[in-house]
Amino acid sequence: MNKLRTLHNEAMNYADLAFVAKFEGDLDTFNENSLKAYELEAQAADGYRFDFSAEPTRSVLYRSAAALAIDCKKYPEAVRLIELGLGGNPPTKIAEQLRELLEQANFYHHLQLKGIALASNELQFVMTGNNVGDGMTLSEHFIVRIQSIQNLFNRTVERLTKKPYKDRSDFSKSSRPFNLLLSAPRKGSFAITLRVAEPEQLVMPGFEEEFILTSQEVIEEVLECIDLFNGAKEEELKNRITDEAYYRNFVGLAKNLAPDGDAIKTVGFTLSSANKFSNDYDVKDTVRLTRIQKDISLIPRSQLKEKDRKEVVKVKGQLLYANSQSPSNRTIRVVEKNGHSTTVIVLEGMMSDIVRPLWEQYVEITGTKHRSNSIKLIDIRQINLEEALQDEPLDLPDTNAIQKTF
Amino acid sequence: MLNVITLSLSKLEDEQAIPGVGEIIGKFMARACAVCLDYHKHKKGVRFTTDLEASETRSHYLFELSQWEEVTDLVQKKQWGDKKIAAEWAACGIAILIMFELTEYTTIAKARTGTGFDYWLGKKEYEENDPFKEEALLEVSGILEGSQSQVNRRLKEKLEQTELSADLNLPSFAAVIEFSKPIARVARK
Repeated sequence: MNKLRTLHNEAMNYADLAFVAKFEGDLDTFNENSLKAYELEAQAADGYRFDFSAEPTRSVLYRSAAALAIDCKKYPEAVRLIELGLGGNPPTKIAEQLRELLEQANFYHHLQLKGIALASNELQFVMTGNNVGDGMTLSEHFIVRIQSIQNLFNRTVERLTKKPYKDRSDFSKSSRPFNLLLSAPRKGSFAITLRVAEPEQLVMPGFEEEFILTSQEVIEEVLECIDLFNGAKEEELKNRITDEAYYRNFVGLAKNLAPDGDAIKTVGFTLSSANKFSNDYDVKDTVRLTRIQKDISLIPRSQLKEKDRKEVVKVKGQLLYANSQSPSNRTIRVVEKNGHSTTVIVLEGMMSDIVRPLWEQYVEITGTKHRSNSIKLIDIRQINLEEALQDEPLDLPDTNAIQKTF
Repeated sequence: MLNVITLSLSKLEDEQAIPGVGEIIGKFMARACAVCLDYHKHKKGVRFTTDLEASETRSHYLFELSQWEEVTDLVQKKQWGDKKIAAEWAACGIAILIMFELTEYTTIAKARTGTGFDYWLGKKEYEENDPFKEEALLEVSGILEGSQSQVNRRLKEKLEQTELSADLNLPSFAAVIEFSKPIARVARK
C-alpha cells in the first residue's frame, strides 16, 4: 500500500472515531480525533499537491481534509486546502462541493467572536452575501431580518408563557416582549451583537414560585427551533411548537430571516458559551440558516389535501386591502396588472407578522382555489414591479424536506 | 422459487472483504440496521425482497438477515431518537452488503464531504494505488416506512443525482432500502 493511501486510511479511522463520538455526545473525544484526522488527511492531500494528473484523488483528498479542518474550527487552514483543491483539475461536482465548503469556512470564520465576549443574554447575528460589505449592507436586507428576529422572540415568549396565539400581540405584565438592543456593526462581514433585555421577570402561569422565564431560555428556544427548521426536521419542530398558528407564524418569520441565495447568502448566530445547546447529533455554539427563501413554502405542498394540490394558483399584484377584524374573516386583496382583484384568505398566524409588513408592496401569492374569486394563502413573497408584470410558469417547492445523500 | 442469500451485518466490519467501511463505521451501520428492524418489530430471519436492474434486465433476490444486536430502550431514546438518521445509515450498510453479494464491486474507499462521507466502489480484486481512481460510485437512500411507489420515485431521483460518476465517466449504482416491508431496489446507470 502506498504511503499516502496509508495516511488517508489512518485519517479516516480517526474521522470515524470522531463521527461516532459526536453522535454519542462526547465532544472532547470528537475534538481530539477530528484534529488527528485533519492533520493526517491534510498530509495525504499535500502529497498530491503537484500531481495534477491524479484526479479525482487529489481534489477528493483536499475536499476531505478541508471538511475535517472545518470540524476542528481551523477555518483559515480549510480555506488554504480548498484553494489548493480548486487549483488542480477537479471534476465539476467536486469543484462545486469545494466551493460550498469555502462558503462554509468563510462563514464560520465570520461567526467566530474574534475577541468579543458575549453575556448569556447576548448573541451575535451575522450576514454574508453579495450585498454585504465590510460592516455595511443595504438597509432592506437588515431591517426585515432584524424585525423578524424581534418577532420571533416576542412570539416565543407568548408561546412559552402559554398565551393563545393572537395576530395582534397583546402583551400583559406576565408576558411582555423582551427588548432587543443592537450593537454597532463589526467589520469582516456584517456582524452585530444582539442583547435580549428582560424588562422584568416573566412567570409561567401556574409556576409562579418555581419557573421564571429568562432571556437565556428564550434565546436557546428560538435558536434550537431555527436549527431544527434549517435541518428540515419538521416533525421535531411541530412537537415543539404544537399550536398550528404559532407553527405557521414561526415558519413565516424564519422564511423572512432566511437568505435569498444571492444578495444574502447565509445568516447565522453565535451563542455565548453559557447558551450552547446539544441536539441529537451535535453540541452547538453557532446556528446557521442556509435554506433559501424561494425553497421554503409557508405550507408545503406535501401537507395539502390531494384535491387542493391540483388547484394551486399564483397571483401577482399589489397588496392593497386587508381585513383582520374577526378571526373567521382574515382576508387580503391583491390587485393584478389588469386591475383584476383577487381575495386571499389568510390562515391564523400569518396576518400580523408575515402579511402586514408587505402592505402596498408588489407580491406573488401562491394559494389554492377557494370560491370563484378567492384563494386560500399557501405562500407570499415580495417581488419587484418588473416581476409583477412578467408571466411565469407555476413552480412550487414540493416539500420543505431537504434530501440527504451519501 | 427465489434463492435466499444470507446477509451478515458483521461483514461490514471485515476490512478484507469491504475495506472502505472499517470496523468503527461498520459497527455503527449494523447498529442503525438493528434500530430500524427493531422499530418495525421484524423477527430474526426477516427477508428483504430485492430487485437489481442492470443492462435493461431486472433480477429478483431474497436477502435474509438472521442476526442483529438487541436494541434497548435506553439506546434508542438516547442516541437514535431521529429514525431518519438511523434509516440512512442502515440503508448504507444493507446497500454495501448487497453490492458485495450481487456485483463484482465492493466498497473500497471513503472520504469526508461537507455533510458526511461518500463511499467509492472498486472491483473486489483491485490494485491498491490511488484511493479514488476506482470503477464505480454508489448513491444510497433509506426510507424507514414507505410505499413501493415512494421507493421507485426515490430510486429515480437517486439515479438522476449521480452527476459525479457522469463527470468521471464511471458506472454508478443507486440503492434504495425500505425497512417496513422490507424492500431493497438497486439499479445501475
